[in-house]
Amino acid sequence: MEEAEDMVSNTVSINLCSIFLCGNSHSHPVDNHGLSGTIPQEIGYLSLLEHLILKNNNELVGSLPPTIGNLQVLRQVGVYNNNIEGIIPEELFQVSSLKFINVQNNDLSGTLSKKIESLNRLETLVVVNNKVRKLF
Amino acid sequence: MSSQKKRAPSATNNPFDSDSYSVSDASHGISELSRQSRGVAFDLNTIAASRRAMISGKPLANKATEKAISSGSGNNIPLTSPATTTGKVKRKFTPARRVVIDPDLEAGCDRQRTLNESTRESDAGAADKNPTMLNDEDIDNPSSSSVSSNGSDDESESDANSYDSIDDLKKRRSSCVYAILGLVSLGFLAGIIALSVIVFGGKDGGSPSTAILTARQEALHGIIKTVVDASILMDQEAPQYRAHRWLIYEDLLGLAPASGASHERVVQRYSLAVFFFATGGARKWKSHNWLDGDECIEEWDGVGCTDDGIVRVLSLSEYQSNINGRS
Repeated sequence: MEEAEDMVSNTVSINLCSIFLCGNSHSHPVDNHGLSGTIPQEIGYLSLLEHLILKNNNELVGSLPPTIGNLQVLRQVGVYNNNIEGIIPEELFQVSSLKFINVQNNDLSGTLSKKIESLNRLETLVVVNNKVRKLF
Repeated sequence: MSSQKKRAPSATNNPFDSDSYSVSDASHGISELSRQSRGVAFDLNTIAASRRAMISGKPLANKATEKAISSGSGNNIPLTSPATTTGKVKRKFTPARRVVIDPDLEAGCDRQRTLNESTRESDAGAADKNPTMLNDEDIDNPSSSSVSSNGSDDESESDANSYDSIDDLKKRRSSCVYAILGLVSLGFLAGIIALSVIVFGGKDGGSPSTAILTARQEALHGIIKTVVDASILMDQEAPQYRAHRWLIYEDLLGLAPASGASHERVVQRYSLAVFFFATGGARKWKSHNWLDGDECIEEWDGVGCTDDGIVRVLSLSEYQSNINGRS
């Protein structure tokens, strides 16, 4: 029962969540760029990337590559309204520069690591409409 | 002589149905055949009988019979053995001469046998003394004979034919040799092609890891190998393979580490290319200017860079907004 209560079935809203982008959203905007396939691990070699926004691409599948944790100056990760699956890699929570994370409306699963609490600059976290569970 | 077994050719009208004959038999045959040959034409049954006898290896009755047959038919067939005129004739097998009984069979003459016979004739002239005898080989394969039954019996022509046969045989052997050499050459060529496909990767021009590269290409390849497993670069379906090939062979920007392109710059451009191919690229993207010119100067769609040419934004959903730093 307790586990069921911890299920992050729809929304994870922590006090760092800013007003916009939080909450449930089932509508997919129409600005689909046409991306398909998967996000390659080579994304982690763009070592000075600050903004990674890949949204509204229904054919974008696969998982978030762990190499995303190499992006030590990353501030925004907006990978929402896609069909990304798998878990949110723990490596992402090692990027202390992150201020914005939005992965809503995907097919993510697993648990949300407590390490997210170490992201002192994080202002927005949106994980709604996934299968992610909260363990803390 | 009285003890000799007598046969009556006239009774059977076939003087060749026995293995041995006496002189009297021969004389009787002479008179009989001479009498018959006085006619306009020699009895064709007798000729046929003589041929059957020769096929079966039995001797003719005597020389007179031969002459009678020859004169009657208008042909000069050396069918008889001299021994038949002196006494009993044992069935003998001589490898020297062969006789073609049926002219129709001569068309299928075995050249190998003709060659052998020609050699035998040159080595053993005595064999000509018994031209009528057939050996077992001839009986089994009468087409192998070298003397035709049309009665021409032209030795010089026969020799000429033999030489022609030798030439033909040589040509045939040469053809066989050439055929074998051709097959070997084809096999060798196929091996080379297969090896080339393995080494150079077939139609795509080969994997850069094994192909011959320029110094610039080799330098690019060396940098890329630091961030990707070499086995992935062999997978032609992998976006890394395609990006690698694009950067080394197709990128018109022509990054050259020797000309100042840094390791980070090469990796950045390679990584963007991998992203492009991994997410559908030209096949799926609705519009783009990727892989065309410098990613920062040309401002690839959704890409934002620092003043130093380092990518800081990748936004492929709302790249027209301010978030990509181009506003």
